[in-house]
Amino acid sequence: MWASLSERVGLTAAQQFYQHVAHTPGQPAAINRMGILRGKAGQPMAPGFSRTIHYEISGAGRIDYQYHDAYIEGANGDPHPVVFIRAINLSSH
Amino acid sequence: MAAEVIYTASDLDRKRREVTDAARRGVARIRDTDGMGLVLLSAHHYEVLEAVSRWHERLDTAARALAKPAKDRVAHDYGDLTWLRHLDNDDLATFLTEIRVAVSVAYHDDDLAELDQLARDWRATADELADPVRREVLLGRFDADDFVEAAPPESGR
Repeated sequence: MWASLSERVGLTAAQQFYQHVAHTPGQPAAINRMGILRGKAGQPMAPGFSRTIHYEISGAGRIDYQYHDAYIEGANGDPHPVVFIRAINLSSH
Repeated sequence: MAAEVIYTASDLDRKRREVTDAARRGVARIRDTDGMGLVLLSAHHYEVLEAVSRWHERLDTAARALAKPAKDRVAHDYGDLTWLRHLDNDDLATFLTEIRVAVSVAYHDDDLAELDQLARDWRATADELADPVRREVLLGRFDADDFVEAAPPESGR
């Protein structure tokens, strides 16, 4: 699904999303609309994760992700920011 | 506390500024020539009142749906919010609780922004849960091994 994102929503929109989650995943998007999934779907996956952010690419798709500002990968990893994309919906409304 | 002024229909002409100022402050009450009571209020305030009223009805409808066994519910039970059928009982109860609070805030603050955003978020949630695969992903347990690194989008990928 991720591999076909550029083709489905356009390279510019795909890059805008990537830049957004790479730099400011917890801030309002500069261009597209964002929200937070409610109920159980919005709960953090594990301690330290954000709630599930719902990012809308106008008329083209929606991406749900969570971010962690100090994620530790493995037993000896260093804390670092990560974004986990949970679901991509490329069906039009 | 100032006594409430009730204007006459002719005051709309003779005291137009006074009547509209009263409406801007809240509500201007007007008695028509046949005795019918009318009110003049800001369009914004009217929209808030209309939305709050509509949401109260929706909450009653959704609460009645929740009271029915899930297996007996049909889309019609949710009124115009048919997308609520994609929420399970826990989420539907949470929806009711959160929307009730937001409706109260909208009414007392005379501002629909928070309610509108919350309703949009719940609608998006229900739309995501409507798909079985996304539902399983979003409600499933976290396992880091389920994720792979994503490369930056590039043309032709």
